[in-house]
Order: sequence, then structure tokens, then C-alpha cells
Amino acid sequence: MSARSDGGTPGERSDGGTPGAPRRYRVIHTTRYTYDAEVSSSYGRCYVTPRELPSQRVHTTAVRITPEPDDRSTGLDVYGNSDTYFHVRTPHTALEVTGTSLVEVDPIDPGLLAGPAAQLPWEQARPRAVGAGLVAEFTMDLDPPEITPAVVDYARGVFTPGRPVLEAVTDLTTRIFTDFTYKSGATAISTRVDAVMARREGVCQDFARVAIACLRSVGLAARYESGYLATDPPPGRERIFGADASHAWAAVWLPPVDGGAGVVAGDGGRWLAFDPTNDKLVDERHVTVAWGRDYDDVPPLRGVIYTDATSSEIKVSVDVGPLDEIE
Amino acid sequence: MNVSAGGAPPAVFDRYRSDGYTLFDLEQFNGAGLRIPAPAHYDEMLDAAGAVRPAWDELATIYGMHGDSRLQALASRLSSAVVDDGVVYNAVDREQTIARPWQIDPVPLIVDGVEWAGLEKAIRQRSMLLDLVLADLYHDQTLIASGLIPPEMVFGHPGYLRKAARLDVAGPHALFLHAVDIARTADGRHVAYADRTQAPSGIGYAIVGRRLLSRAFPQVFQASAPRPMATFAGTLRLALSDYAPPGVDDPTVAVFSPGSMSETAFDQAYLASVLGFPLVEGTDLTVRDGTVYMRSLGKYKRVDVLLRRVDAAYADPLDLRTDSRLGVAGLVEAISRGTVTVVNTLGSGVCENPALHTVLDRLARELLDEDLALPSVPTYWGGDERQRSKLIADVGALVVTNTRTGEEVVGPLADAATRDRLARAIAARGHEWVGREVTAYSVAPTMTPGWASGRIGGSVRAAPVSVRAFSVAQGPTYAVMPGGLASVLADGVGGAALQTVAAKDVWVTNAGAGGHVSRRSERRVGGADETDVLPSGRTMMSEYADVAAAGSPRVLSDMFWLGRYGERTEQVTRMAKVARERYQDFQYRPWMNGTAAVPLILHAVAEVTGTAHFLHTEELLVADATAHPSPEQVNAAITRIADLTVERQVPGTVAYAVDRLMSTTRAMRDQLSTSTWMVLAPVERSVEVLVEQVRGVREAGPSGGASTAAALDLGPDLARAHEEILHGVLGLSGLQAESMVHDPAWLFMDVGRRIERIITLADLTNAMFATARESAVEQGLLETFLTAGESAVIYRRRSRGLYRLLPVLQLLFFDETNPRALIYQLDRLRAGLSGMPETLRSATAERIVEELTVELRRIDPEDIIAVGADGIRTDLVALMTTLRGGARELSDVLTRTRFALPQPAQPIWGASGGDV
Repeated sequence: MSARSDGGTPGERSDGGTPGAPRRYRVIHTTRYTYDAEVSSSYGRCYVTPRELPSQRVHTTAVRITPEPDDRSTGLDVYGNSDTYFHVRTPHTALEVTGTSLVEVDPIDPGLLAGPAAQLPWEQARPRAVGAGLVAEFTMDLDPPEITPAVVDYARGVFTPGRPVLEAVTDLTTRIFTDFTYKSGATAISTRVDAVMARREGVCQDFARVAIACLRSVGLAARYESGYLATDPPPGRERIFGADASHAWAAVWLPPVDGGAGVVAGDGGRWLAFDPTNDKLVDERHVTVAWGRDYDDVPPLRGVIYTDATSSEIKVSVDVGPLDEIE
Repeated sequence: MNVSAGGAPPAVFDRYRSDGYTLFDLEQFNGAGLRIPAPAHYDEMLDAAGAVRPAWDELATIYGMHGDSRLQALASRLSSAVVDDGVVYNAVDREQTIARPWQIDPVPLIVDGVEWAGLEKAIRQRSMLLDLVLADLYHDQTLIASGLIPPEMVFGHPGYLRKAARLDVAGPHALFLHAVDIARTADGRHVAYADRTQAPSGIGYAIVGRRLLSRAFPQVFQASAPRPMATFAGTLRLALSDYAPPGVDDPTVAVFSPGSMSETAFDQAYLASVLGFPLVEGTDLTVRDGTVYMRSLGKYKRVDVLLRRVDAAYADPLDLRTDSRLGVAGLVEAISRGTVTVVNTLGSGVCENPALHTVLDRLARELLDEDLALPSVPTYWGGDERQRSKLIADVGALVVTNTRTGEEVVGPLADAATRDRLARAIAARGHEWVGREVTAYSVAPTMTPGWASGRIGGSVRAAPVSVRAFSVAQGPTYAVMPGGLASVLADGVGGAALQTVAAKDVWVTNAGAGGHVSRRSERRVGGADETDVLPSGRTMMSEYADVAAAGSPRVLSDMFWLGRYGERTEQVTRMAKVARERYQDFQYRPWMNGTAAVPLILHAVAEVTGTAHFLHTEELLVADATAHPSPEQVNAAITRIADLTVERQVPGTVAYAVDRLMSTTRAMRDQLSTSTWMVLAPVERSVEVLVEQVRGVREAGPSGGASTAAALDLGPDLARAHEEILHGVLGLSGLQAESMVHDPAWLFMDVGRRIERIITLADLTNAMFATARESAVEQGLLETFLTAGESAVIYRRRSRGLYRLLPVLQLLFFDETNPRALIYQLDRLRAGLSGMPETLRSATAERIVEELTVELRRIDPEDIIAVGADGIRTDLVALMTTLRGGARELSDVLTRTRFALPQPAQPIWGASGGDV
């Protein structure tokens, strides 16, 4: 079993729902670890609380941890993501973390797509070119580096001189969708971008990371976003609870522009999120939880346990239920 | 002949000048294809006219009076003081950590007080500036947004920790402790080569260096009367308390160390003991309810302030590096809740990026409205296009550093291929690279031999120097240590990269109103030995540290093993000594009776120590009890005893026990009397010397084996080594008995010693007396047994005449007044275990001791000497087996229950790896 999100299976295009209207979901995300020996103490930090955004409202949200932690807290990290810290001191052989939220998500802002920022030549969307010092953090390669010659080559074919940034990013999304095969279990969290490039297969996280490395290789700011994707059951079949999985995609930064569509200096601007696993822009079917430079900034659950156990098993289930069905 | 101030230096400095001007091998530069003019040096001691600068006058005069030979004697006194005080630097070579004696130069670096005052001000300004930078980088980041600091300098530096964003410090400064490496260029200006902001090391070394030098050179120390630096420790101590979380009145402060295997373990432990704070490691600490506690004597004690020496990235496996074994899970959380202060703050390492040198001038003007008083060494940063071109073009003339990986190349020493590779790497990922200018730093007198030139040490020569200065947050500003830790730098361009050969004390002369004061009352300093007393009056270097303050399972375990290894070293040495003496008796008295006992003794010793298989002592046994050993047999035996002493890789040997004893001792330096090193240093030295002697004999002997004559020659060397080692370990047990507080940790040490003594005695009894032997042989065995058990004299006094098994065993088993007797060990074990605080008492352990005592008392002494039909003393064997088994079980129980470190920490997904 995999702790990694292998959701957002490609090809499940949405047909249901009313396009253009906000949608509401109840998201239940459960991670359960079982160990072959007793764990005496378990410290954890999880990112399972969706973000409050202009295009996303979180009506209720809660994190349940079993066994009951002796200590817990919530707070915001450096990127404004909400995280939950816990310390369980009750001896246990199973640990379960469940995030439950009621979220309302708006469709994509047509103004963003049609606006002048999206039509800028991609070169002008580079933070260093417009003096966006803080956003420049997201142009930087990871440590150890992920931008390899293969990444540079791949990106060069997409980012041809003067190409409008939206067009280039849409092309990148489509290319990754086309060139790479979705295959659960083919890769792991530790799999480097270069290996994914070579194998041309992976899961949503891998595709997001490939896209991010490509964007950064040309000096654009790119971030990793984690969240959920609402999938609809095939026609005539009932929705199966827990069939969905956690998901990941990427976003690119678009600089602020003035009335005359000139680029404004500074760290303002907007982020355009896209989903290479499904060849689409991120819309009202995506629930955004957290973002950072990479997976490692916002894993659903990380922790340290004190135990003599030598093996563990993980079970992850995610259910993104359209709220109207539940009510 | 001795010239006073302003004159030419005395004769001992003759070589100083001739060497001073060829320090830089010009060919090194020319080989790099550069046209650098012959580098001039600023001379710390001599002015342009070659006259001694006033601040150096006392030193030059007194050194001149001493003359070369006397100086050499003082220098060797200094280096043995380093060994006697156990001052070491851990060289980490791949997996291995080797403790090497610390190198301290016998000549201090004198700094004129007036000049220092200016430097001090400049250091303070630099600390203030970096403090503002650090505070901004983890809060508003306006310096990045406004373009004053290029984003790559921060976001691309491994010292920048995103998890540390918005963590507050409970004090006015974000940067608590700052160290800066300063050197002086040819024009006499000081420049900063590097800033240390992560977890600066060297304060402990600086203080111990001053101590050693002031003792080795009392005369010149009194005459020069440098400003005392120990007061800085007091300032640091107060500052640590000041930075406690709000509401904590009497904070518990600890020094958070990565452990005794880290490079600067000595520095950490010494500083901790100077400050009077416990030294703790990650396993000693735990986070509960968002608060840091240390495990102490079975209880939890809240910790308020941690002086951090663990690299930030390793400080918390939950939020930082998951693979860290040095950290405390939940530490980041505790800091963010404000329950604990960690200084330097997590993430402070970002200010170490030398790329910042290129923007500090501007930052000083913007943030302080001042010019940067202590400029940085000219630095080029590959993240800037123009500087990158310069960096690539001059790669062969710079010290080139990758700030992400730490790779550093001294350009002029690099070959063409390396330079090409660097140029390409810089072009590809410029922001990771910086280049610092290679320049000739000022020279000062030193007695430390140079590396490159292979000069013979002794005479004073000139070498480039640098100074690490320290400043600590004090109220709204910073307090600077008066002096610091200087370095004798490598000759040639290596020195320009601040490659260090030895440490050097820094003497700042007292600055009077009229500049340098050349004469003053000796009362201005406390005496030849710099006083180590904090302003509060608390003795800083107490003869033993406050053990109760750190009674974590790790410390208790170390104490226990200190007891066991101390005893083991004594026992093994004593047995090796006795075996050797028996063989030597035969060389001189071959007519003696009981010849067969001699190889039996050696074989028994080998069996007890577990080395019989390695030493093949069985081959030495002879069937005929009356046959005299041939010279070849004696030779073979002496060779084996030498092996039993020096083979440090083989468990059971003397050298093996000594090595364990030393590393255990070093691991708990902060817990022990400072006299410990005086007692143990000769032990270690003695083993080293003997190892060399044995090797010499081996190499001299035919086909790798020792010749008879050579082996016989080893006899006296072995004798001397055995004596010296015994001296040391007996001194150690004396210190343990009389110079340490008999607190719970001490009780564990004593328990360890008793357990070891029971096991050895039981094993030796079995090895010697399980099988009954003919009377003459048994006589020899009994005599040896008594000697090994330190009971021969009392036995002879009590029982004149023959050695008989029954009275011997009565003396060594059942005599409650004999500290070597089994019953005595059991009594001490019972007293020790029941004397522990309730939280540490173990019913299981006490029961084991109770059962062993009953077992021993119940036995009828007549039974255990009885011999069965098969010639075996069955009851004796059974009793000894019970006792050794019980002692081992006791050790296991304590290890499991009292010394148990927390269960192994793992990532939440378990031990099977991160990819489940």
C-alpha cells in the first residue's frame, strides 16, 4: 500500500455538476498506520486542513487523531498553510489521523485566463525580471538539485521565445499528460525528477514535480500544491465512499500588471494552478490544502515514533463528497 | 643584549625575520599564471623599521632572556600540560573519531589595547548588523523584497530554515552569539574572513588556552597582564539566563551537544563546565506538552534555555532532518510555543553565507546609517552577473566555496582540470558559489612548526595568523570577549583560506588613557593562573561538576561503564603483570618448584580475559610439571604477554580496556574531576609507547617474529608499562573515592566496579582451581591468585607457611573486611542499589544481589574445595558460575531498565524506509 497520493487518475473528466457555479464538498481524508509492535510515543505534524482562499471557503474543518493525543496544536507555517501538531503518549499499535472539512470552491476566474498577465510573454513572468524578490524563492531549484539536462531540454521545447505564458503552461500540462504514463507504484516519494523523466511514468506528485522543475529551469516561479480532486462515478454507478485519493498539482506565478497591461514590480501577482495528471487547469473540482516548494514542505502527515517495531502498514482513504448528495 | 621597547628584537627572534618574508612561495602564485607582486605582510610584532612594537615589548624581552633552550623547555611543558588536562580535538575521519591532543602555540598573539578597543567597536557593529539581517529574514523579509539582499543568498542557502520562520527569541536580539574570523591585510587593516552564526565554537578552547598559557609562562603573563577573558563566560552565563522564556525566574540552562564524537566535543564540555551548566544530548531531552524536559535521575526536569551546539538542521527529527539522531522531536514546536529558548536560534546559520559580504557595506549604511567598520575580505558572488564573470575569470586566484555543499577549493593550489570544472559549475549555478580574495595576512611569532616547509620546531618563526572574536548579546548591544581564539595559519596560500595549524591565545594589553601602558602593578591580574571565578562568586572550574544536574540515562550509563572499564583495566593489567613476573622468576630461578604452574597461569589469565584463542596460550602448557621452560618457551610467553597488553583491536587486552576507559571518560568530561586527565594521560601515553616498542621488536626480529634476545629486552618495557597503567587506574579509583560526590550517578559507577570485580574473580577462580592439580603446581597458582586479588600480603601475615585453597578462598570469598572479597562486593552492591533515590531503585536488581548473597553465605567452604572423582571441584564451579551469571544479569537489568535510552526513533512510516 502506498502513503502517496495516487488519486486523480487521469481521464476521469468531469461531466457532472453545473459548470461555472461554485461547488461544495465534504472532504474526509484518513491516514492509518498499523505497526507490528507497540509504539510508546508518536509525534506528528499533518497538513490536512484546506486553505481559506479567495476562490475557496472552508466552512468547517476538524482533525481527529486516535489515540487521543496528550498534546496538540494548530498553526500556520511559513507559507500560510494550516498544520496540526500532535503528540500521542498512549501506547498504541495503530495511529489514525482524519481530516474532515466542508469546503466551497469557485470555478476558475475567467478574468485570470483572459487577463493581460496570462498573455504576457513568459519571459516577463520571471520574478527576477520584475523584481519580485520574495516570489523568487519559488524559482530556486531544490537541494539536492532537480533541474537536470533532461529537464532543461524538455522545458526548452515548451518555452519558446515570446510565447504567452498561459499558452506555454497549458502546453506543458498537455505534454506531460501525453508523454507520461500514469502508473501507481512505479515511483516513490524519494524518486528524483530525473528518474521520472527517464521512465516517463509516475503518479500525480511526480507529474507536478516534473512541471515545477521545468518552470524553474526557465526562471519561472513554480510551487507544489497538495489537495483533493472530486471525481464522479462512471454513469450509472453509485459513488463509492473513499475511492478518491489525495492529489497534487503545480502552480505558476503571474506578475501583477497595471491598467496599460505593463508589468508592475513587486511581489503581488497571482498564481495559476494546473493539473498535469488530468491535463486541465485547476478549477472548482480541486480542493486546495497546502502549498510549498515541494512535497516535503507539505506532506499530509510526517512524524517520529518511538518503537521497536520493524514494519508498518499504511492505509489512506480520501472521500470528496459533493455536499448536495450528503445533505 | 636584551633590548627594550622600540629596539631590535632579541636573538631568539633571529629566524623570525629571515623566514617572515618568504612565507608565500612566489612560485605557487606564478604557477597559477598570476602576476601578483611579492606579497608584503603586516607584522604584528615588528614595525616597518624592524623595531618591536610597544605592546610586544614584555614578551620580546622575556623571551630574549629565556633564550632558545629555555623557551623550548617551556614549550614542551605546555604540550604536556595539554595532555595532562585532556584537551583534545576530535579528528573525524570517515566513520572514526580520533581524539588528538589540541595544538596550542606557546607564543600568544599580543594586541594593543587601544587598537583592540577600535576593533571591538567594529565587531559590535557587525554583530548588530547581522542581528538586524537575521531578524528580518525570519519575519518580514523586507530586505529581500526591497532588493537589498538578493533572494538567492537566502533562499538558496542551506542555513535558511523555513520551519524557523517567525520563531521569536525571548530577548532583544535575534542573533545571540556571534563569532567572526578576522585577519589583517598588508596595509594593517582588519578584515572579516567569515562570520560564524550557526553555533560558534571556540569559547571553551579560548578559555582553556589562556589557562594553559598563563601557567606555562607565568613570568611573561604577569608582565604583559592581558585583559582576563574568563569574565566573558560570566557575561555569556548571564545572557543565557536573560534570554529565558518570559515568566521564568530561575531558568534551567543546558548546553545542547551533538555528543562526545563531534569535532569540538571538548570545547562544548569545557564551556559547559565553565558555565556551570549541564551538557545534554538529544537522548537526554524530550518534549512533552510543548515543553522541553531533561531526564534526570528517573525524573523529568524542565529546561528553559538551550545553548545549541547541534547544527540546526539536525535539531528536530520531526520538523527538520528526519534522519537526525542528534535532535529532539518536537523542539521546533516547543520553541514556537515560547516554552524554551534555543540560542543561537534555529536558522541563524543563514548569516554565515559569505555571499552576504558583497551586500553588507550597503546594508550597514541602510540599516545603521554607518559605514561598515569591519569590512569583509573582498568577495565575489556568482549570483550576480558581473561578479560571476570575475569569479570565473579569476577562479585560480580565489578561495572558491560552494555555499550549498561546503566544497572549498583554494584556487592557486588547484590544477587546471579542477579550475575548468569550477568555472563550469559556477556558470551553471552561480548563486551557490563565492570567491574570496587570496591575500597575505599579517604574521606574528610562533613556535609551532610549519606544515609545508617541514621546518623543525623550536625556534621562533613567523607565521600568518587570524583571530576568531566572539560577541554575545548584552542588553541593547553586544559584549565582545577581550581577546579571542587566534590561529596559526598554514604557510603559503593555504593560510589565505584560513587553514589552521594551531590555536593561539590572544592577549589584549590594558588600554590606558595615553595608549599603551608599558608597566603596571602585577596586582592588576589575579596571579599566574587566570582566575576562573564568575562575578556571582561561583567557582567556574569546580573539581567536579554538578552531577545531579545531569542524571540522564546516558550519563548514568556512562558512569556505570566508567566503573566497569576502570576496574577491568586494573584487573587485566594486574593479571598480565603477574603472569609476566612469574615467567621472569623462571629466568632467574629456574630451579624453583611448580614450573608447570607458570604456563597454566598465563593460560588462565588468557581464558579470563577471553584472549586464549587469540594468544594460543594452550600451546604453552607442558605435561611434565617438573620440566623447566626453555628460553624459547619463555620468549614465546613474553611475546604473548606483550600481545595481551598492546593488541588494542582484541577485546580483553589491556590496550582495549584502556581505549574503552578513555573514550568513556572523554564522553563524560563535564562530570569528572579535572585531575582525572592528570591521572589517565600517563596511562594512555604508556600504552602508546609500549605499542611502539613492541612494534620495534617485531620489526627487528627474524621473519616478523621477535628474536629471543629482543623479546627478553621487552621484559623491562612491559614491566614499566604495567606499573604505569596500574598507577593511573589506582589513581583514578582514588579520585573516584575521594574527589567525587557520592551521588546517585556515583553509586552507579561503584556498582559497575563491583560487578566487574565479581566477574573477574569468579572467572579466575574457575580458570585456576576448577581442576585439582598436584600440590607444587597449586602452590604456584594460589600465590598468583592472591597477588592478582591484592591479598597476598595479608594472607602471608595471617597464615604462615603453605598456600592452601581453603584459607585463600576464605580470604577472597567470605572475608567481609577484605575489599577484594566476593562478599564485600555484594555488600557494596546492596548498599549502592538500596541507596538510590526511589525513582532509580530496582527491585529486580536488589533481588539478584540478595539471592547471590544468600547463595554465597549458604555454601559450606569445605564443600567447594572438595574434588570429585573426575578431578573437578564441582561445587566451586557451580558457585562461581552462579555468581558470574548473577553479576551479568544484574548488569543487563540495569542496562535495560535504568540506562535505557528512549526507544529508537523512526519516521512515522516505520523502520522499513520512506517509500512505503
